[in-house]
Formats: sequence, C-alpha cells, structure tokens
Amino acid sequence: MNRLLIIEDEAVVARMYEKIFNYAGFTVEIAGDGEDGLAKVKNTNPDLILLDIMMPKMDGLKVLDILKKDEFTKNIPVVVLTNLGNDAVVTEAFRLGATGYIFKSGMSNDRIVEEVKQYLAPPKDQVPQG
Amino acid sequence: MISNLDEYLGIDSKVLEKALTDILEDVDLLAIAHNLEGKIVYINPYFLLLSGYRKEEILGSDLYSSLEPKLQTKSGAVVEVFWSSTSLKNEEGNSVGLFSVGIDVTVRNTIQRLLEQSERTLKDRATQLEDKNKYLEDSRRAMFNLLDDAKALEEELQKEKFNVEKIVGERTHELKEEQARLLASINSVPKGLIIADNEGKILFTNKTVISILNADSRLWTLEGVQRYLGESVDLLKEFKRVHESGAPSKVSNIIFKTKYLEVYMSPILSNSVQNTIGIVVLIDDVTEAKVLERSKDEFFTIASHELRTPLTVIKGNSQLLKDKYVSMVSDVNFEEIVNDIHDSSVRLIEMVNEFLTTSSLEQGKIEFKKDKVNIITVVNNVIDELEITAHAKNLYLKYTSLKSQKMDGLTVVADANRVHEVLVNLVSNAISFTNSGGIKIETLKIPGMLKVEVIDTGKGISEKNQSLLFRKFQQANESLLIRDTKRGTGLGLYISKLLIEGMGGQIGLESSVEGKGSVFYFILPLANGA
Repeated sequence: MNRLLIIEDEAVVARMYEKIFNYAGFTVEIAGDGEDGLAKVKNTNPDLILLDIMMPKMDGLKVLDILKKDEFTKNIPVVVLTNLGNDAVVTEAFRLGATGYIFKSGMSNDRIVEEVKQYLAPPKDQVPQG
Repeated sequence: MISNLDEYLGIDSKVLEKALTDILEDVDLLAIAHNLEGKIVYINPYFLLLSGYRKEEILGSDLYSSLEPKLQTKSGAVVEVFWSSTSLKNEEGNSVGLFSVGIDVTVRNTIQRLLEQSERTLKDRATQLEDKNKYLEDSRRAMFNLLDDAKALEEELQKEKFNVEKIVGERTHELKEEQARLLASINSVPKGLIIADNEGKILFTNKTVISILNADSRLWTLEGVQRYLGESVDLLKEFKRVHESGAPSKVSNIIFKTKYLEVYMSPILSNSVQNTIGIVVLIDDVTEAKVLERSKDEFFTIASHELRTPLTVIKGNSQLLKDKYVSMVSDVNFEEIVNDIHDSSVRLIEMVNEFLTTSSLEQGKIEFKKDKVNIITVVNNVIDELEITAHAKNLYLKYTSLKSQKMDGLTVVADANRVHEVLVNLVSNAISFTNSGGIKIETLKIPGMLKVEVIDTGKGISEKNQSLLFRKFQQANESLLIRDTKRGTGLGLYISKLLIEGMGGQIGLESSVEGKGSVFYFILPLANGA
C-alpha cells in the first residue's frame, strides 16, 4: 500500500485529499505546515509527498529545497499543489526538483489520483535507511 | 461885329474896342487874327509868349494859318488848344480876315488824359481785382465744397467708426465672455494645462499645474517646469520631438514624488500657418486612478484566491459524495442535490479562474512560451475534446484544410496550451450558438502567418452586438437584463483576445450573418516565417 504525506496548512483541503486518497487505497499522513512536514517525512518515509506552496511560516518552495538537499529524502517524489497552472512558482518548483504539480481547483478527484499514481516511483526496495 | 456891339450895347465902339483890346492883352487866352491871305495881323501877348517867337517874327507870317487843335511852339513843344473863330468883316460886310480865340487846354487835356489813364488803370485794377476776386471766390467755393465733402466724409467715417466700435465692442464682450468661460473651464479642469510658445516660453498655466507640481511661484518656461519634474520625465525632449514632428505625444507611468503622472503634448497648429505656433501640455495626476486600479487588481487576485480554497473543498467533497454515498441513499432527490452542489461549484471555480486569468493577463503576469506548435495537433485535440458536446446537439465538428497546403508546414510559434484554450473557447461558443448544421475549422496560410477560422452555421450576431465582442464582461445579448447563465462570465472572448495578442497574433470576427452563421478567426506567426 502506497504511503502519502500531505503537507497542507488548510485543514479542510488536507482532510479532503486524505479521504480521496484513502478511497483510492493510499495510506495518508497529514502535516499542517512545513516544519511539521519535514519532521513527519523522516518518521513515515512516504512514497510520495503532496506539498502545498502557499503556507505560513515556511513556504512550500523552501520545504522542497530542504527535502531535495537531504540525502534521506531527495529521492521521494514531490508533487506540488498549486492554484495557477502556469506561473513562475511552478517553474521554480521544477527547478528545485519537483516531480509534478496538481492544479488544485482545476482537476477532478479522479484526475488528481491518476496524476499522483503516474508520479509514483517504482516499488522501492532500495530506499536508503536511517 | 463891333458895329453889332454898338448896336446891341449902345456903347461907344471905341470904348468897347479899347476894353476888348485890353482884355486880349491881359487875358490868359490865345488871340490871333489873320487877313484873307492868311498872314498874321494880330497876336496877343499870351499867345506870343506861349509861341516863343518874337513879335516881328510872327506878325505878317503865315505861322499858325490853320488852327490845329495842336500847335507847335518855336521850341518844338506842343500846346493843345481849343479854338473858337469868327470872321472879321468891314463896314460893307465883307470878310477881311479871321479872328480866333483859343484856350490852352494842354494841362486840362493832360489832366484829362491822366485821369482817363488813372481811370483805365483803376478799371484794369478793378477788373484784375474782380478776376482775382472771382478766382478767390471760386477757390473759396471749391474749398467750401471740399470742406463740405470732407465734412460729409468725416460724418460718414464717424458713423462707420461708431458702428465698427459698436461691433468691436460687442465682439470684445463676446470674446471676453468666451474667454472667461474658457478660463473658468480650464481652471476647473482637474488636469494641469500649460500653453507654451515655440521657444518653450509659457503663455498660460492653470492652477492645477501649480498644485500638481507643488510649485511655489509662477512658471515662466518649460525648463522651469522640468526643474520641478526632475528626472521623472524629459519634458524638453518630448517638447522638441512634438515641435519637430507636429504630432502629439503621450508619456505615461511618470513617477513624480508620491504621484503618478501622465503628460500629453499636442502642437498648436494655425489655420493660416503650416508650422506649429506653440504647444499644449496636459499634465494629468493619475495617482488616484492608479491606486484604484491596483487595489482593484489586488482585490481581484486576493478575493479569487481566497474563494478558491473553499470552492475546491466543496467541489472535491461533493464529488466524494457522488462517488461513494449517493448509491447508499434511496431518496432520488439526494443524488440531484449532490449533483447540483457539485456542478455549481465547478461553474463557480471556472468563473473564478477566468477572473484570475484575466487579471494576470491584464497585469502582464503571464509569460508565453514560444514553442513550435503544429496547429493540426491542437485542432485534433480540440475536436476530440468537444466532439461529444457537438454530437449531443447533432452538430458536425470537422477540420478541413486546403489541399495545396502541406500538413507539416502548418507550424506556428506559440504557447500550445494557450492556443488550445483559445480554440476551445471559439469552438465551444460556436456549439452554444448553433442548433443545426455544425462547426468547421479551416486553416489557411497568409504571408508569414497562419489563419485559423472557426465557421459555424449558427444564429449569427447582430451588427449592433458585433462591436461588443472581445470586450470585458460582454455577452452578445440584446439586453443587459437577459443573462445566459450557461455562458459564464462574458470573459471568454476577452481572454482569448489577450492570449492571442500576447502571442503576437490577432483575433476577430471575420463575418457574421444573422440566421446564417459566424466566422471567427485568429492569426499566429508561422514558424520559420514560411
């Protein structure tokens, strides 16, 4: 079963994604902000991270940068959650190492699940431990 | 004669003779007696003295035998004499000689002549004077005539002058009123107005200029205005440009201290002179408008952004309800309720997204990719996407291209997603407005560009509404009160226009006939300029 970490400050959005992905057969962990997310990624070792960009305290790009610079987390695919499909933020996210993006308000539930499945890394046997 | 005297006077003839002789000897009269031979027998002393001859020379001579009115003296002088003669008779009554008495009239005649001469001279003078008088009179009359004419002329001039003055007065009054009105208008205009001559000397400024520039004194030259504006704008360069080209100019986005300014310059052209005779400078303080525009944009962005999160949640959760829970509830209303909630949230999100796209495009925040895009691929994708909708209305949706065109040549420089978006918009609109027939997409090359046409057999657009197309929030309805709720915000064509223009193309309505259909088109630059 695929494990998903959702880093999203809006609880209603996070809970909705949790349900959508639960129905799709994922195990979902939610982090309410960037720092929480960085802590939980180490504990849960997710197969994929859904990362919101606009967050208080630490924005998603900063979180992404840290994740991609960390040996332990750099291979985990990160899909950013964005509001506009074609803005500079997305370009920056790809530059920092994002795998894909989800246009939050523009995609149906099924489409989001499809996208995420597409970005999932092949079954990980070789994920570095510790 | 003596005897006669005797007879008449009864005096002794000797006595009488003596008296007469005495008188003749004494009197200042000329007395002479000639005998029948014409010889002088007697001459009185006065005559003798006058003649200049001696008595012996003259007596018995025939001097003065004929008594002329003019006689000559011995010295040659001429004496004028008035003669009176009588015949001397003897006792028998026979003539024995002639006795003549004369009066020296030389003096008298001279005086007479002098008098006559004087008279003549006087007469001449009088005539001359008369002539002169006449001339003077004529001159005087002529002068009077002239004076009369001059007077009449003067009167006429006076009258004319009065009329002219009256007219000028009226005109001046009108002009002054006009000027006052103009001045009041110019001063009340919330834009700074400067009128300068060709040398940049300021002829007029209104109060707004002073307040915009926060100037502390009168402005005399454009250089003076420039000093206030500092480096925010090169007014003098613009002035020179406008002056030389004769064409107006506009400089926007001038940041002057805490204000946003716009400067318009326009040459003043005279009817009679081809050259500019000066320049009008309009300084507009657009700070308020800018602030308003920015807060409107910000409101737009923030509101749309904040709206999206809850809408996304409504949409996602209603989808979950549809997918997982509708089947659990036996009441058929439940499904309808959930579907309505879901569809409405989708529509709402689309609208908000359109608002945001518009706002981003207007603010130039969207960057366009410059990829080589094969238009056939885009057209086919759009047909795939909208075929179901078209077929649901029994409409055809097809692509045709001219046979002479090579398929691989139909490549444009554009942002594929944006071209797709525009074509979807045009085709969706066409489907909405067409109830029979269908929609045909055509491509054709024009020099350096590719033209894509969307041809429908729909209801067409009235001429009145054609001008509203491609405008913000405009739908081609006859009235503002008629809302076609299926058709969203009225931003579709406006966004398409911004997108196509952002990619260096053009978009428009080619033609439209009511009841027959419409042809919309867009043009994009061909790759390789082919």
